[in-house]
Amino acid sequence: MSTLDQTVPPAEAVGAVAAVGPVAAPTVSASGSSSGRVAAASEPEASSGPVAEASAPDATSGRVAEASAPEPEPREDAVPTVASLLADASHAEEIGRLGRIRGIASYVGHRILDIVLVLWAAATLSFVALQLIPGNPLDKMLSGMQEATPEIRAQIAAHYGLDQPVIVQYFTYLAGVLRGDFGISYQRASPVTEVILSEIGPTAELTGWAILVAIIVSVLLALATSGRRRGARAFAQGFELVAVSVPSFWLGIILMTVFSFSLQWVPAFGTDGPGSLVLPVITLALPLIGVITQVLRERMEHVLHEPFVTTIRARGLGENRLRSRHVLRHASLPALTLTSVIFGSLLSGTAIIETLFARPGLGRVAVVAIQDRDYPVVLGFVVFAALIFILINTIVDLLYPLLDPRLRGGHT
Amino acid sequence: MSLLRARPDGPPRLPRSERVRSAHALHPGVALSALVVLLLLVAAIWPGIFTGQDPIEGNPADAFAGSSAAHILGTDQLGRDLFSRIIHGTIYSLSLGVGASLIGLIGGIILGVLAGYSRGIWDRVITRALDVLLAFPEVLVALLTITILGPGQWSLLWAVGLGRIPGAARLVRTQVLQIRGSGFIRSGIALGLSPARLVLRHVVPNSLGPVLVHAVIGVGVCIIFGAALSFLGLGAVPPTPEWGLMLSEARQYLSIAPWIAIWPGVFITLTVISVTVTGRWLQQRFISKRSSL
Repeated sequence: MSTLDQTVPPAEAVGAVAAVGPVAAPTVSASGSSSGRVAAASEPEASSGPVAEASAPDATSGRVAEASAPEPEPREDAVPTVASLLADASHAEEIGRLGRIRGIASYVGHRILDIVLVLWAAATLSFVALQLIPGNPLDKMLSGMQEATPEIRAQIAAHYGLDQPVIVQYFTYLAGVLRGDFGISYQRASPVTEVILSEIGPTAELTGWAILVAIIVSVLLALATSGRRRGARAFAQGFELVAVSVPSFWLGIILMTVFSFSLQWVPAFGTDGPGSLVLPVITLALPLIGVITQVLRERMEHVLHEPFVTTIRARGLGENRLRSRHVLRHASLPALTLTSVIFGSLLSGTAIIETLFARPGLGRVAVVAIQDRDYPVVLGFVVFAALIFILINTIVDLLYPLLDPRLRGGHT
Repeated sequence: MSLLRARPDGPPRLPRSERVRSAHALHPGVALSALVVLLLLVAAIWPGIFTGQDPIEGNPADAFAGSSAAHILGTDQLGRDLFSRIIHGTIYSLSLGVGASLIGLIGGIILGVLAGYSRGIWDRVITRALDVLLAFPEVLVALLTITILGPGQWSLLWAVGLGRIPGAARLVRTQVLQIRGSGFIRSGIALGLSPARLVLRHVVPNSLGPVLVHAVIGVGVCIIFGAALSFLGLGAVPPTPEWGLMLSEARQYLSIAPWIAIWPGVFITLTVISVTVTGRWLQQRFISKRSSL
């Protein structure tokens, strides 16, 4: 849904990344050198950072070219510090390693705390939501049964734990969530966890293909249109705007009408064969392509003006290799901040697309559960989605240092 | 749009003349979008100008009629005039977009100012809570809200609006933090202004810029999201001429009367593009104004 929103956050998030990580720092030689000197003088752990980084074997030519300009000066300034460090190098190394291990430990600790906090918030919000729903859940459960005697009511209430005080229900629910137990579906009479796990396959297949297609197409589009002539830029901007503005359910209907009903190339509904995946994947991927291309293209246009690009051009590297090897790598970092947007878009997207194309899956289950007032399934879905979301965010955070060696220094 | 937002973290790249022109000139695309927004507003407030036909009561004998002089865009499965339904549906989409954006704006301002202006433990508590809420996809907020309130136009408004609060609050907080440290606020403190007066008269008005842009562009986001929820049967209920709901109802007749599904979608897309383009233009105006100060 809120893919369109991305016209706001990505750039803002891009700014945040640039401000937090040293993404933009090395290009400004003055700030780069001063920060290097301060770090070298203040703590031995930090001084081991730049050294390790400079000797890192995977430093691509692009980054070497970029780093080489500001690097020599701080070296000279830091000579006394480096010399004194060399005097008891082993000691400093020991401290450095310990410090780094402690840094990683506290970083991991923070991430785990975050995960727990979000999960707790999701579970609590869900539970509060359940309590806020007007009416007794028992009445809704028994709405289909005419002759529900008080005995039967009491029995069912006991079965679902509804006869306990609210606070006890809350802690039972929390304990259940910890064990991966979200209660029992009112409609299907099977555990919510089973319902979710049995439906996750088709959804994972659909979203996996959609992400793959979106990334490939966006990278190709960004490579082809960034920093080119006005016509190409205008085309790219127009395409991005339309891609994020077209409602995916409408796009799906149009695709269906044209390719299934008129041309009969691919089946419109169901899950038989790879052909049935084509339209849903396109429908799900298009808004993502709009968002990702937009951020990639803008960052690439930004990076194309960096001094290191001139250096690489001067070395005679072809334009295509320059873009795909060096510029794209720089632009991919801000694009990572889109993860939450992409996830949100996929989450609402699957609900819509599974409904539209009559596919089984988690999104469909959630929508049907809301319509049927099958609250345990709805809440289980919410907590489960929040868990997946925070896990993906954590993994992406861990990916930053892999993509950008400059971020490997300290985890702060 | 974000081309401009991306600029602060690096030196400007376009030639200065081009930047100034792009910020101030009224692009033909922008003019067209503003015109569409204006027409939609008129249609929402006074649908009678555009169509005299009833959007709810139709003549079943006319069902599935194609485009004709009597029915410009044809009729739907119950013989209702499609154009009339779309025009009367404008108010639902626009009021949802504006209303939900307003909810996000007001909630965001309150929380953002509280977080940014209070110190110590409160700042940390609110900021942390915002972080947790931001880590919660908007769809889930919407699903929870609809679960609690039940489907309907009003719960749809809250479902879409509540999810926008954390993002808006973060924008306001960042601004407030900047404003709070600036000279004129310290002057105000030195002059002995009361905290309430300082916050309401000086901090809040000066921190509104980015969040207003967020809200204006958010109108398009909210329209598309609201239509999607209605499409899923979680929003408007029949026979409301809501565009998403109309699309959903039209699905069954795709093979015999695809236009019933196509036209509401065209209008959603048109509305969202126009609102977004107009919003981005306002954003450019705002940023160029601020940098020239």
